[in-house]
Amino acid sequence: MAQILNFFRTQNKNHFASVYPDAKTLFDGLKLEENDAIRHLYSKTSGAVFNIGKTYQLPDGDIEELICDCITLLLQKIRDGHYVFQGFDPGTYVVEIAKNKVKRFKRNHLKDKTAPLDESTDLTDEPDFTSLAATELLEKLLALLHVNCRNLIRLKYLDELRDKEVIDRKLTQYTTVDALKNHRAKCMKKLVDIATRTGGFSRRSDVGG
Amino acid sequence: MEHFYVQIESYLLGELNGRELEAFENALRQDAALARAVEQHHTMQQRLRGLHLRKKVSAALQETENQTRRIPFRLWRVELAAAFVLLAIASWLFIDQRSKSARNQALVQAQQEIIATTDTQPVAKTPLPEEGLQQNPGNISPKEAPGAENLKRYKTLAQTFYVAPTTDFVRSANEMPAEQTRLQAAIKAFDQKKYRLAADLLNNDASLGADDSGRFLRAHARFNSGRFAAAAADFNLLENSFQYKYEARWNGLLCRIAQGKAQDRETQALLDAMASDADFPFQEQAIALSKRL
Repeated sequence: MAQILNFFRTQNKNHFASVYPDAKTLFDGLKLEENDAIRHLYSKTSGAVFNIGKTYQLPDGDIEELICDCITLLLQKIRDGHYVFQGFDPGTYVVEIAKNKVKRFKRNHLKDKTAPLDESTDLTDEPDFTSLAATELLEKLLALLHVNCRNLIRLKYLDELRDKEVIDRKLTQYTTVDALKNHRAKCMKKLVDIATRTGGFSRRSDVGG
Repeated sequence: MEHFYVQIESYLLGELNGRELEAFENALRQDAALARAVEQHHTMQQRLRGLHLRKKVSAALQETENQTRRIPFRLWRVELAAAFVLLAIASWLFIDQRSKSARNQALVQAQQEIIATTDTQPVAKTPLPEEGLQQNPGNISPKEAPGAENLKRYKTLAQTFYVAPTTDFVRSANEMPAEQTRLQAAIKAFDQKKYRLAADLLNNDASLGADDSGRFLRAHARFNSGRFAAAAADFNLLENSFQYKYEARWNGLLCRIAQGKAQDRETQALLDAMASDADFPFQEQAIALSKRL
C-alpha cells in the first residue's frame, strides 16, 4: 500500500525529471521561463531551502516566500545574462542564494553580525528587484496610478504583450502604436515621479530581501 | 527634454537606430536631467520585470501547490476507501475469530480443568469392567475374541444401526449462554462432532447433572468415539430411564455387538426380544440387524 501511495506522490516529480533529465535542459527551460522548469526547480530545491529556513527559525510562510524569492532571482539573473550555464545544476545556485538571503536577513533583522555572508552568489551589492518587499512596494505605487496608466504599464511589462497585439486586440483606447507608446511613456514618467516623491525606492531594504 | 522623454522607452528597449539613436545619445551626454530620467526609467523597467518574474514564479508554484493538494485529495479518497475495506475485513475476521473463540473457550477451559482435576484428585468414575477393551485387545478371552475382520464388521454394523440422540439438548447447544457448565460445553462439543472431547468433559460423574441427559450424552459420545464398553455401561444405567430407555437398550445392544459379542447368548436373547416386541420403537431395526448378523 505504501509503495502505491508513494508512486502516486512521486509521479508528478518523475514527470518533471523526465522532461528535464539534466542540468542543461533545466537551465534551457528556465531561460525560456517555462512553468514546468520552474516547478521542477522548486521540487528540487524546496526541501533544502526549507531546511535552511528552519535552521534560522523562519516561519513556514516566510520560507515559502524565500523559495519564491530565490527562484525569481535566478530567473532574473538568467534573463540579464548574469547567470550562464557552466555545467552546474541551477538548483545549487538557488540554494546558495537562499543561504545568503537568510544570513542577510539574520544580520539585518536579528542584529546578528556574526553570520558571514557567502560572496559566491554575488548578492551583497546588487539590488534585488524580485524580492517580496520590492515587488509589494511597486504594486502599491502602481495602485496610485490612474487605471488607464496602470493598464498600459501592465500590458507592456507584466503581460509582456507586443504593442501591435495590444492595438489589434483593442485592449486599450488607443488605435495606433505611436499613440500607445506616447501615453505609456507619460505613464512611466508619472510612476517614476510618484516613486521619487514618496521616496518609496530610496530605502535599500526593499531591494535587499 | 519632454521630446526625448518619449523616446526613453524606445532607447532602453533598443528600438532606436540611425539618426534617432545618435541624436538621443548626444542629448543624453549633454542633458544631466535626461540621463537621470533614463536611469530612473531603466530602474523602473527592471522593477516591473522583477514584478513580472515574481508573479510568473508565484503562479507556477501556486499551480504546483494546487496539484500537490489535489493529488493528496484523490489519495485521501483512495486511502479512505482502502481503510474502509481493510476495516471491514478486519472487523469480519475479528467477529469470526471472536465467535470461534467464544465457542472454543469454554471447551478449552473445561478441558484444562479436567486435566487439572485429573492431576490433582481422583476422579469418581462409573465402574467400567470392560474399559480399555478397544485399546487392549489382549484382554479379551480367546473364546470371545473374534477375528479382526469380524470385529470390524460388527463395529460397522453397530454404527450402521446406531440411533443418534434425538432430544433437544443438542439442538439447544447453539443457544447456550457465554458462561457454560461442563455439561453445556460437552453438548457443544458433541454438536461439533468432537465426541472424544465431549466424553472427556463428562468423564466425571459429578458433571453429568441431576437428570439422565448428561449420562445419555456421555454414552453417545463414548459410542461415537469408539469407546463401546464405556458407552455400554452408561446405556445399561439408562435402561430404566423413563426418557431414554429405548435408545439406551438399543444402543447398549449395539455396543455389545461392536465389542464383538454379537454371537453371545445374552446378545442374541436381547436382540430376539427386541425384534419380537411390537411396542419396541426399534423393532424393525432389530429384525434387520438380526438378519445381518
